[in-house]
Amino acid sequence: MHNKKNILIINGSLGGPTGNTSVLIKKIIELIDDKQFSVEIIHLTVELIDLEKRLKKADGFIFTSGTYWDSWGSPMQKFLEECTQFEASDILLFKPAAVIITMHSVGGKSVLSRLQGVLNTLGLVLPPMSGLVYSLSTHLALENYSVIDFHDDFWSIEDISVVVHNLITILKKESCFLSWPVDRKDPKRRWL
Amino acid sequence: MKNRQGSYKKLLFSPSSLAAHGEYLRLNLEELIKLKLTAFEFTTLYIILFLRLKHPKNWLQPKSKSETNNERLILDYIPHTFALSPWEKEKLAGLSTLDLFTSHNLKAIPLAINKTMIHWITGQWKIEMLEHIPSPRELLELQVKNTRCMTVTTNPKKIDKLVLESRDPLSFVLHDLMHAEQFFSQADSLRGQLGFYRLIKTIYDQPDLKNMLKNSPDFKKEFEYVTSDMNAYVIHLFKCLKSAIMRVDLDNNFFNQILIWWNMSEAEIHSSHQLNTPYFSSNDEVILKKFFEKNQEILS
Repeated sequence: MHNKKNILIINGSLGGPTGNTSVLIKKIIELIDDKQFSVEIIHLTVELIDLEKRLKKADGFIFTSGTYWDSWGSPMQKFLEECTQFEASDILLFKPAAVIITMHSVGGKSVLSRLQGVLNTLGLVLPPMSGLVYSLSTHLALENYSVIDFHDDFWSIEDISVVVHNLITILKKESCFLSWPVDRKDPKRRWL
Repeated sequence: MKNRQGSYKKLLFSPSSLAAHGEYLRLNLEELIKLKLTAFEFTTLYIILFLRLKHPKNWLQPKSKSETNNERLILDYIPHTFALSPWEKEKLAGLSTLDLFTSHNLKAIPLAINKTMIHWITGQWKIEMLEHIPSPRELLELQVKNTRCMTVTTNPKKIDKLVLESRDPLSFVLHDLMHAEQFFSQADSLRGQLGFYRLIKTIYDQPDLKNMLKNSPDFKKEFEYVTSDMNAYVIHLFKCLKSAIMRVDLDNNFFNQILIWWNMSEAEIHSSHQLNTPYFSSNDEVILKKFFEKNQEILS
């Protein structure tokens, strides 16, 4: 029998299973609804069970966290520290990882980039366009204005499908990556 | 088992979504079991456990001001493994288990559930929490005692699987609680139903009935549904039972036998024969309703 590939979502947000990030996780699960994949979630705020076993079982990862004082949640930091032992081991090496960060208004992009850097250094593979930040400010802007000139340049909840697609693509060893919309107009134009 | 299907939404969680939350559900179920809660408290936290995953943003919605009651405060016994977020702690602060159902709405949960939970904790309705799927006979035995049951999944290995391959564990519990509401809410018909169930119980071990149940799977299915899980006006129950019997008892012998087992008077037998015919009158209905009502032994 063909074994399903396993995607492990690791949620380092302080809000745990009912925080803002968990709402995006719900979206991710719906998007992965693919017979070839099974999904599991670890909320790092909750006691960890069989961490090594579950990391080993995973074929790919999605790391999620909120942004707290310019960094990821403390449960994620603790997790990364515990992962030191798995650096460049077959538990992590060459496995693809996507990252989704939430924030209020600032700091999230830096968290995303730094976390991707750490994960890559631990041995994980980062597919193209496999990380995004979703912010309260974007959420309010997109919800309250129907026509925004810069709409495509904001990461939106819909872009999560691109992140998921690219992770799944690399897990299937296919090469048909997607891109989220990019603003092709004059990037230097005034916005303030 | 057909009679556990019902019409309430079968899937609040897709199988893949249930599996994704498997470890979290297992961990918390084990914690709930360790806490040795009352059946009511266990059921409440069981519902919350799933509901938080279904609607992480807004599963708890205040409706009105809470009134003082003596129930335990939820935050006093909710396991730390639930990992409540700050907004949940804020909303649950000072709330008792009863408050949750009286002064709050649970997102997308029918009000019938709140009603059942309130009547359960206040001792007005008898609900038994089971950890297995009851047989139709077991359900009947409970209903004779004016009790409904509700099945929770307590096996951690099964908490992320569909029950009877059709409902997720949350939907299964909600379906049972809605059935309880249906059963207890119809005050006018409850007395007759109780009489009907008691009379069915008296004939369950009759060899003739056992043979029919054994020889006709279709009859068995209909009989078990009518006698244990239909919860309707007693005349409707009797109509369905007669109709099910008539399809396998072409010469009426078995139906007549039941009327004899039940010690029906001539008038009651006559009305039973009129049932499901154009000659069935409102007088026949009154006669049969009274017959079933006088055969219940629970309500004074």
